[in-house]
Amino acid sequence: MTLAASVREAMLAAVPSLRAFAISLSGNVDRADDLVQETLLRAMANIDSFQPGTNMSAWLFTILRNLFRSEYRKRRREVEDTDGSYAESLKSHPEQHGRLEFEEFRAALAKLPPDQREALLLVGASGFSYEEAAAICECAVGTIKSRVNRARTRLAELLAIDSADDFGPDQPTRAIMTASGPR
Amino acid sequence: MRSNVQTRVDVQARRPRGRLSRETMNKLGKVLEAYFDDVRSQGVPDRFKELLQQYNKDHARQDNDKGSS
Repeated sequence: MTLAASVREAMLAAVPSLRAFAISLSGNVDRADDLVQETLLRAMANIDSFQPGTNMSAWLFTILRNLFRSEYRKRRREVEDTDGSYAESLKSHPEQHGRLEFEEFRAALAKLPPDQREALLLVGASGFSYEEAAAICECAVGTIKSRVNRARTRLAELLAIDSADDFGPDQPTRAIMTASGPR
Repeated sequence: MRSNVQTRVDVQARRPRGRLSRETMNKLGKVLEAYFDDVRSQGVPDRFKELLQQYNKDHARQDNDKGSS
């Protein structure tokens, strides 16, 4: 069965956010795009199980998140990450995200535990409610809330944005917060 | 959208017991959004548009085959 135009449009509309989520999870644009591709293929193959009228974006995020998790687990089994090389790969390729000004932010994000990072990205950046994020991560709403809180607190510490004294003119991440209009 | 962002955090505004002030939360939220918007602004890469088009082409052919047999 071919995809209805409305379904196809809804899928494509979710792609930019899916990519942002995938890049933030994997730290690598190429792997992220492969993840998005795999997500779309799975979604199309299982389009019968998508309920029209429900949130297409949340459905796709759920698929992508599960794919990333199983790939991450497999990778951990294949290559013992005892020296933290996988964790290191999440933060050692600034050129792969494109903009250098986000390097400090990406490095901080990579230091968060995966559960917390994922929760923060869903609620803080992807626009999902706590309830939607809980459904995507298959956990309780309270769990998501506490993960997001811990992630925010840790991130604020890592970026030192809780202190007025640390605002310097040459700190790129801080520059974003003070930027006016599109650059 | 990002204009008039205050550059100073009122340290007194911090809540006790390690909880973040609203202002810190707002700043963090803005960085997160800017980080995601950086990728979102790239739109939909052609490979994904083509992927969906190809899927429909393949399945339209299958549907036709079924219909004519």
